[in-house]
Amino acid sequence: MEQTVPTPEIIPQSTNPEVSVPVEEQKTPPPAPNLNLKKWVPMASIILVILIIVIVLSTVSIKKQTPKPVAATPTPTSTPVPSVNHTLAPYATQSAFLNFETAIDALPGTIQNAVLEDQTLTPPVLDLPLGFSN
Amino acid sequence: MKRLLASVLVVAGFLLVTHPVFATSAQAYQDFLYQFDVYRQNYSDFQVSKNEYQKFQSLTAQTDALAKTKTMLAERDQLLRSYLLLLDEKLAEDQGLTASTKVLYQTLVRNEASFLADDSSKIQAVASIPDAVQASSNLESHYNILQSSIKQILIGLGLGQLSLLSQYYDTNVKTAQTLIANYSGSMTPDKQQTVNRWILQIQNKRSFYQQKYDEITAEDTNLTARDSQGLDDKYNTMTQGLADARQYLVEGASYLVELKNELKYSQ
Repeated sequence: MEQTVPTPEIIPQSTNPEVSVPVEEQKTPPPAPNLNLKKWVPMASIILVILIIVIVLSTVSIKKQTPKPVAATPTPTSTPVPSVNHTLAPYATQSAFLNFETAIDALPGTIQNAVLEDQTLTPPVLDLPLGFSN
Repeated sequence: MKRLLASVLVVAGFLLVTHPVFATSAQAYQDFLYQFDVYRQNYSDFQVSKNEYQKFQSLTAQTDALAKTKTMLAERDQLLRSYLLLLDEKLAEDQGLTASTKVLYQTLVRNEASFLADDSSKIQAVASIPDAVQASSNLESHYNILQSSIKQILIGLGLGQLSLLSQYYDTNVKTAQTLIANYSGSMTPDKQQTVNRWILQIQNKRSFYQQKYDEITAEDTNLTARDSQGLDDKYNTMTQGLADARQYLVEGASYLVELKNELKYSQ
């Protein structure tokens, strides 16, 4: 008995180009992006290096800019004094002037502290009507 | 022993003559405080007996209420009289008022004291609760006039204090002027001009004070009001006026201090 060799089925070709894709071509895996990877690796490494440089530089500059806490050292400042030469008048040491000076120095306080309204003289408050109901 | 006793009596007599009895405003104030305490107690008793009478309307309660009312009314007059006496003592001690003004205020005190004495005699004649109500209304109708007189005197005493201060102020200004006249030879013309200008400003402050003083005096002389609130308002205005007048003197006194410093130093 002779075995009959199976003949491959002939797929009728259609006029539609989309449908007429050969079966072998459809099954092949997508091409690996070998070419793209080769292009991107140097680019990425350059960007990475640039980023590292930028980060390092920025950290260095920030460290330089942050002010170090300076211990406050009080510097003694003298109160400005008006430089007026006070020379006593020739009569300023005479007894008449000294008495006058004493009296005048006490005058504002004496007037300010004088009691014009004596609190002991507050009049008594009285309820006058007796309030008897008729 | 007899000699010792005699010498002690002589010394005691001498002390009495040289130091008069201490019956001043301080004593009058103590009397006033005592009378106020007595009045408060009597008023409290009066209120209790009045409430009892109104509650029970019994003859016993009525008799008790009448007695307590009469006592309270008499003590009320006595309290006001003690207060007037205190004012009179203060007026007597005052050194700033002129004699005529003082007499005016003392007349007010006497008139009010006379009214209260008359009122007290009427209270003694009270024989029933309606009589007591009538007797009380005698003081009630006069109370506004009494309050006016009291407030007039209080302002008068304030004016007396101000007057004393202004006298002290004037004395110092005069001393300053005398010193300036005496020392003018030792001053430069510029300094003399400055000092004279400052003296004018010191005198201006005195003038402002005097205007305020006269204004308050006029208001005080004619002090009247229809009711207690109006009287209080006028009194408060005058009290503020006294403070304002004093402030002019304070400002003038501070100018005087500056003048003294200017005179003290020669550049």
